[in-house]
Formats: sequence, C-alpha cells, structure tokens
Amino acid sequence: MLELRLVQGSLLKKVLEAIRELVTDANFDCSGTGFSLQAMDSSHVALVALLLRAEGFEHYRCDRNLSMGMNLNNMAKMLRCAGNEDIITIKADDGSDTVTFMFESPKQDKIADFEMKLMDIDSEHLGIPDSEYQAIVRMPSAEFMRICKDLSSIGDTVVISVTKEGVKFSTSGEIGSANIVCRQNQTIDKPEEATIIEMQEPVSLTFALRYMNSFTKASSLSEQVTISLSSELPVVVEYKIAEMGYIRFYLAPKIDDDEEMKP
Amino acid sequence: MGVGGSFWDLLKPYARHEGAGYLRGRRVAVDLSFWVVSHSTAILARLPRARRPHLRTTFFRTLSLFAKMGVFPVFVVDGEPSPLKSQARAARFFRGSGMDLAAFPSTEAESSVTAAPVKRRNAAFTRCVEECVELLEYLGMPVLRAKGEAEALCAQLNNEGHVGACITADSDAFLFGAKTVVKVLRSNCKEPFECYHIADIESGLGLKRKQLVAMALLIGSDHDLHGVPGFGLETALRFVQLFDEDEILDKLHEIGKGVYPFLKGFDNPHIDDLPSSSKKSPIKSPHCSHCGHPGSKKNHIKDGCNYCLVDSLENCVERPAGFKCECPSCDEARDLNEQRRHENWQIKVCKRIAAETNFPNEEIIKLYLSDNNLVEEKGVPLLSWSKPDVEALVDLLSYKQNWEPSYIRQRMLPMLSTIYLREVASSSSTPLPLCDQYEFDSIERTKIRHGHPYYLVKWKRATRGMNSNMPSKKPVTEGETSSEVVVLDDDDNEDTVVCESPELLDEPDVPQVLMDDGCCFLLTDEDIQLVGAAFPKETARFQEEQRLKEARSRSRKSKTSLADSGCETPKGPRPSGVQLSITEFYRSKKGQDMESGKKKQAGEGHAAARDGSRKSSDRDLNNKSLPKSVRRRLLFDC
Repeated sequence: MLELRLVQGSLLKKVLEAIRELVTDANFDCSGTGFSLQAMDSSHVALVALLLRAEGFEHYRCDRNLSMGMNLNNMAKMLRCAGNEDIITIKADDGSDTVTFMFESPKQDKIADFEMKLMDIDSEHLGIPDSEYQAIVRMPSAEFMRICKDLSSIGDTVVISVTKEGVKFSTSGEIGSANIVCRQNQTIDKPEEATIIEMQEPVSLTFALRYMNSFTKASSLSEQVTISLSSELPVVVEYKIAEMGYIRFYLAPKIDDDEEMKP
Repeated sequence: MGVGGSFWDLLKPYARHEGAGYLRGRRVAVDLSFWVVSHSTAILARLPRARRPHLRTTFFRTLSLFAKMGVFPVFVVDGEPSPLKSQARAARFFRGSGMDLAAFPSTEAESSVTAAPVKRRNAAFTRCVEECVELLEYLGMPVLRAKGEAEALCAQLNNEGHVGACITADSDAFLFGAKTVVKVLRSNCKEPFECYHIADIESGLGLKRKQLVAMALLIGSDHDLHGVPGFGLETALRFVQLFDEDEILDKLHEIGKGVYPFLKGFDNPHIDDLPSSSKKSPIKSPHCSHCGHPGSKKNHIKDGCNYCLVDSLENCVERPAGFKCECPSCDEARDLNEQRRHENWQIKVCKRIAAETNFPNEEIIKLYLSDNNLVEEKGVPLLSWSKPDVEALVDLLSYKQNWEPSYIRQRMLPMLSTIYLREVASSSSTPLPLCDQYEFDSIERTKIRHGHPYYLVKWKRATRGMNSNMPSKKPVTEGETSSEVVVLDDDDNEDTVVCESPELLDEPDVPQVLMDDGCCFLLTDEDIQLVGAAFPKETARFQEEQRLKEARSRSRKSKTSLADSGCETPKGPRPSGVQLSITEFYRSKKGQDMESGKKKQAGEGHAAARDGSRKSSDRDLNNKSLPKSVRRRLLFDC
C-alpha cells in the first residue's frame, strides 16, 4: 500500500505544470526513499528527473516498491481541483489500477476525493552518472526565464558560453542577433538574487531554445536555478524543491553541420 | 548643360534605376566629350596630377563597358560648335570672369586678349579628344563625328534605331530626339543606372520633342543663355502644356509676330471693355450683408432666407469667416474670374514673348530638329566592332602613359576573352586560340561581383602549337608570368596613390594566374550566358556537377534527418545545427529493470502459494509474459 501526505500541496501542482509541456506520459516510482520520476520528451532530446524525498512528506508509507503510470495532462487536471493551500494525499493499493488523490482544505472543513486510472507505460530508464562539470552557474530563476524568453523572439538556438568574465547567452535569427551577459554578482544582501559562477574551464554549447523555455516553467518552484555545463555533455538545469528534493532537466546540445558531416 | 533652369529636376520623378544587366548586348551611343570633360575636371582639383587622365579613363571605361557589361559602345565626337553656342560660351566666360560686357566693343585689343583663353582651352580640349579617338580606334570601337553637338548625333542614332540608348548628362539629348538617356553610369559599383525614357516624360508631363524644344527656347539653353525674360521652369511648363506638339512651334512664331492665339478682339480694347462691364453688373446680384446669401438684409427680415432655412420669425444665420457663397450665380462668377485671370496671364506671357526680338530663333529650332548631324553625307555607316590592334595599343599606351607592355596586355585580356567567346558562339568552326596561346579549359566556379553572377573561366596554354619551341621558351614565359604579377602589384600601389576617388577607379579586375602541376592557367570573369553560348557542352557539364553537389549535400542532410526521425524529430522548421539525442549520452538501465522484475515475480509467487490453487492460474499467465531466459531462471530457483 502507498500513502503519501504532503502538507504543501502546491508544490506538487507546480511540479506537474513544470513537466506537463515536456512529457506526455510518465512512470512515477515510489520506494522507501522517496517519490521519483524520470522521463524523456517524445523526441528524446530532453530528459526530466524528479525527486521528492520521503522526509519531505508529513506522512510517507510505502510498503512495497511501486510504479504508477500516469498521463500527466490528466494528472494536472486532477491537481488543478486542489486549492493552493490544500493538503494533498496520494493513495494506491498494491496491484490496483487506480490512484486516489485526496485534497483537504487547511481547516479540514472540505475533503475532496478524486480517483484516476493508471496506465501501463513501458519506459526506458537511463542511468545518469555523477559528473564533474566544467562550469556551474547559479542565478535567479526569474532572470534565466526572462533571458530565454527574450532570446527566443530573436532566434531558435542559444549559445551559452561561460568564461571568467561571466556567462553569455547568444542567439541570432533572420531579424538580427542578441547577446546577454551576466556577470558574477555575489555582494547582495538577498542571497536569492545572487549570480554565482564556478568555472574550471571555459565552455560554450548550443541548445534549442524551445526546450529551455519549457524548463523555465519550473521557475515557480525555486527562486534560484543552477545550470551545469561541460563540453560534449547535456546541460543540466536544476531547480530545488523546498527542502524535499529537486527537478532536473537534461538537454542534449546541438553541433554544427560540418562536424556532423565529418564522420 | 543643355536646357537651363533645373531641367533635370523636372525630369527626376521619371528616372528609372536599372541594374547592371540592363545594357548587356545593346548598342549604346557615348558622348566622348562628356567623358573627357568630367574626368579632366575631377582630376584638375587633385594633386599629384595623373598622366593624361582622359586616355586612362577612356581606356578603362571602354574595357568595362565592353567586357564586363557586355555593351557595344559607339563613340561620338563633337564637331564645330554652332556660332550661337560660341557666343553663348563667350558670354558665359565673361560672366564668370566678372568682366563687364560693355567693355567688350570699346577696345579691340582687349577683345582679342579675352578671346585667347577660350581658343586655347578649345585647342587643348581638341587634342585630348583626338588622342581618345586614336585609342578607341585601336580598341576596335566605332567612332562617329558629328557636325555640331555630339548629343545631337547620339540622339539621332537612338531615334533612328541604330543604338538603344545614349550615355550623356546633357539634358538636351531629348530635344535632339533621344528616346533613352543613361545619365549616371558607374561601371565599378553596385549602384544602378539612372535612366530616362522619353515615353515616361510624355505620359508624365505631356511633353514631346517639339514641346521640349519650346521649353528650351523660353527658358534658355546652351545656344541662348537667357531665353525669354520672365520665363522660368514652371512658367514655361505651364505655357507649353497649353499646346499640342504639332502646333507649339507655329504658335510661338505667331506670338513672336504679335499675333496672339487668345482673345481675337484684343486689338480693340474699348469694344471688349464695354461688353464685359455690362456683363458684370447683372451677374453681381445683391446679397444679404448679414448671412451672405442672395437677397438683402431687409428682405430676409421680412420673408426669411431660403439658404439659412429660416422663416420670417427668426433672424438669418450670421456669416462665418471665410464664407463663400454657393449660389449658382456666384459659382459662375468665380469661374468667370478664374478664366479671366488665366486669360490675363496668357496675355501677359504672350506680351513677354512678343517683346523678345528674333523670337523664336529659327536657327536654334533647326539645330534641335535636324536629323542630319553626321559629318559624312552618306548617312550613318554600318556600325562594326572589330578586333583590337593590341600591338598598336601597346605602342600608344607605352609612349603616352608610360605603362609596361605586360600591364597593358594584362588589362586587355578580359576584352580579348570576351571577343573570343563571342566568336566561338557565332561560328561553328574551332577558332584560333585566345591570344594565340590559350584555350578554354573549364569553368572553375561561379563568382559574384557587384551583386552580379559570373563564371570564373579557366584558360590553359595551348601546348600543341608550341611543341618544337616549348622547352626553350618555357623559362622565359614563366619569368614573364612572375614579372607580370610583380608589375601588377607595383601599378596597384601607384594607382592607389594617384587616384583616391572611387569613381575614378574604373579598372576591371585583373585576371589571375593559376599554377597547377606545372601548367599555367589564366582565370577571367565571363558572362554566364556568353559562356553558355560559346561552350554549351562544358557549361552543361558544369551545371550538372553543381546540381550533383547540391543533391549530395541534400542527401547527406536527409541521412542526418533520417537518424533524427528515428528519435522522432521535433515539429516545425529545423533550426540551425544538428540536434543530438539525450540517449547518446546516458545508457539505458535494462539490467536493473530485469532484476526488479525478478523480485516482483518472486513476491507474487509467494502470495500465490499462500492463496491456494486459484492463484496458480494467474501465475501461469505471468509466466507467459516473461521472457524465456527469466522463466528458465525462475524454474531453476524453484
């Protein structure tokens, strides 16, 4: 039997809004350590990894490892029925083909009970090794969201370059080009507004902006975003989820046509 | 100068800007004096002075016109200026020098002194022109001599269909009968030509040739500086537009004699005045001083005003500022006033014309309308463009310009290759090699110059004809080739120092020398259609290769997209660069899945055993869905 009780139910709502655009169907894996998800987009270009640790839940009971296949659009519709202040409880019996969402108002004067059918999803699970990244940029998530939004009106790819001067976001398109440079900015009273750059080696990679824009839907989960870059590796865009976990987006880079032609 | 009074500004709205290919394959008449004058004027203001700039400009511009633009130029030389133009020129000279005209007749010695500079300039100018004529004849260009104005002969050639356009900045080319005038021509830049067509001017302004002549007579021109006093561009235009082309000059004659085409009763002013004054009084009916409508204030108080839409109980509406009465009689009166004003203007204008002595000048009209501008009485000879005499050119330019023979030959090459390609295109037999040395080898690639595409043509040395002499001559040839390159660099530096203005640099690109496996090739830029006509097989082969290259790169891209489509490529247009897949970076964890599946199955087996025989059927179903190897392993465990 599975029974999870999350007092801050809005976190789950935000998670669904963050990944719904990218992933259609996904398997939620429940184990003793926590509630997790790993899924690729339909083009197999981007990967999303979610972890909500068991300690973050008010009540976490998982007798046996469980995998629940859900259509994320339908799940989002369910969770939309919960208020932002509601407590969300997720229940599922062993071997059952449904999952139950229970929403309690803060004063316990209203309890809603929603039951959703589960799906049988055959999905590939990728092993993501821990890597040393050449450059790690931490910056306000609202700032990063704004940058991706502004650049996508100019071009459809973004070149992210990290040097000791700072991190530069560049794009070019039919109407022209754009460059945005963010320098390190640590001397602020508010730590959530800081821009911190750790660079072992300069790195420059090209990515599709539409995926970046999808990732930034998770900005509401955290005030800070961490971008990890290494040459010839996917970028990792990570948002922490309160004290209980994270959501990470992995995006494969683009290479020039010439490079591809060579082999 | 041509027609005075900003005549070109009048035509400006009708300019058409044509691209570089506009004149290709067409015959064009060139006013040679204009080239010489414009360049000499530009160069005089600059130090150090270039050596014989008129020769240099004529040489390079002709090469550009002929080889690069594919134009067949016909050069026209001025003849003797008409006595009228000489007088006008003298008057202009006096005006410019600040001398008083009254001083002219008083002292004969003084007049002889003042006449000298004009003659001297003319003599020097004539010498420049003759040098250019010699150069052009060696280049194989047809040169025609006009009786008087070069523009007149250019225009005649255009009018009679011998050439398709005139290149001149003189606006009276249209008065001489030109149909198309290229006013601004720059051979070494992307800017389009400024072209004017008489058809546009006719439809836009309503002016044809004779009407343009009338404009010149009224405003002034090269032949009569002042024209009629009181006539500027607008007045002349308004006046000329009143008449058709066929009658305009006849009417000017009548007016000049004092016969006005308007108001036949002009000679009897008393009789005219009486009827008009009697006409006036009934038209002006009384109007209300309050509202301005017909009637009177008293009547409106009694009966009301129909126009104000009030009856006798109310006052009529007070007249607003700037009020205009709309009643029929007032409309008629206004029209009559307008007509009378127009007639008065016409009378005034005619009086000005009549006051001018010897107007219109019959001699000027004859000059403009003459269709016999060629010196030779036979008529326009058959125009032909012959092969240039390279040796004579080398001698001439070596002597006059101090140019190296190799430099001259090098600059000539684009012209010679163009002529060669034309010969090959026109005749079916195999011609002699280019410059007796080179044969067509291949098309190297497409080249874009000033926004226009060309084929870069590769010429190889013809080895057959030089079999016996090749070993002995080869070192000399290679030495010559390298020396040419050196000379080229030196001359480029020299040219840069001497001529700073970009317009003066009319030089075509120098043909490149390509060394490949010990063979010597020349590279020239040639017109795509001309190469296609001369060597159709080689051109088709080149185009096929181009197509194959594009197809190959396209298929390579399609292979990439096939690989991507396996990963379900994203929708919409593909952005630049190749998108990689996330699965290329992270491996799948299938082993763990199998292990977890195994554990799951074991758990279920335990539950089945607990529940009895009913569960065993479920177990069998589960067994079927599992792969064989796992099933075998499970049985082994049991």
